[in-house]
Amino acid sequence: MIFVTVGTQLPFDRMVRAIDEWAGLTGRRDVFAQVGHSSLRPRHMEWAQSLAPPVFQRMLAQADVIVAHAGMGSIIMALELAKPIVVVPRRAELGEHRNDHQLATARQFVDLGLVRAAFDEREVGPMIDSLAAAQGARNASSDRCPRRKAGCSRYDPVLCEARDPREGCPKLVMTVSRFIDGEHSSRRSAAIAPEAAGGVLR
Amino acid sequence: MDGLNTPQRILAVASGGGHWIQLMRLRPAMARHDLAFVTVDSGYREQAAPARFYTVCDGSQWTKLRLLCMAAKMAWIVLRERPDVVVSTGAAPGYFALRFGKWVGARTIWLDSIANVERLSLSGKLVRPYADLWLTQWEHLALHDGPEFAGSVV
Repeated sequence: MIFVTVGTQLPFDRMVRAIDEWAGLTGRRDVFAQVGHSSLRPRHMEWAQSLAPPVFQRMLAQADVIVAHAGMGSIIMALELAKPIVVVPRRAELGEHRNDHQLATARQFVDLGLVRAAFDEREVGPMIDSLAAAQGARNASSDRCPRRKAGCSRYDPVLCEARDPREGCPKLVMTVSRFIDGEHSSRRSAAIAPEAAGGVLR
Repeated sequence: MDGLNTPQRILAVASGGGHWIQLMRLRPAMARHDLAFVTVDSGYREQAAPARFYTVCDGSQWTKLRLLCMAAKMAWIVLRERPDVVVSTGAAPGYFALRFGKWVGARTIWLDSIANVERLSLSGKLVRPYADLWLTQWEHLALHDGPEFAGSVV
């Protein structure tokens, strides 16, 4: 099953339309899209505008491939479930977001080998196809990578040595935990700032 | 400095979506303490349980009235909770929580969202005077005077 999500804030018709067309062309019947507050009515996939959290979680867990806008929520959820994910960055010039930080996010996470990104929505379909095929091959063949853990969703075997997001973030947790316990000393002086008068946000 | 070892009263604050999920990734650091969460969507209440849970208005620099509503309620929450520590992964609610946390003498942590790859967020910059631990999740954004890099949530 291919699970598509536009996130919780805004619709993302450009992405949804492209996937709907691809589903129609390829005859896939196993695509589900959460489309947000949109007037789109996809013809080749099942869809809903929004999903209750437990339903959303279940669909994520059942998905073979996740397709999402390049939002951190979607990316982290996919990583935690070790699901291959294709992201489509929203673009500010098309009114899809306030700024272009999704482009930066997508590039950075592609560099880390954690996601695939379709910077042009016409690439989404073929990317889903190749990920789904790779997933199938992974499931079918015996794994030759000596360090790879079961279910790891990294795409580059070299990066399989990096930490698995499913194990949490021990370094950061340790830093925060030690600070809470009063053990951490920050490089900055921990002076309590006097409350300045005014300070209205621009 | 000796460790405190006694459970601390923690106020953990995040906007919805990716901000909330990143806060959840930090939860193991706060597990043995007395915890309360603040966010902008009541749909997260179940995930927050059994910790105390509050919501505030969602808002940003483009919605001044909502920011006012958010700030007012956050002030009430901070004064009610009297936290020892305030932690936030952003955005605007976290700014107010850290700032007001200083009124009650809390130690404060800001973890800028991992989505801010190219530069620190606006709230992350504005919160600087009020953050004892001021963190970015990208090493290339760390500076000698802060923000510091101490790893990321993935």
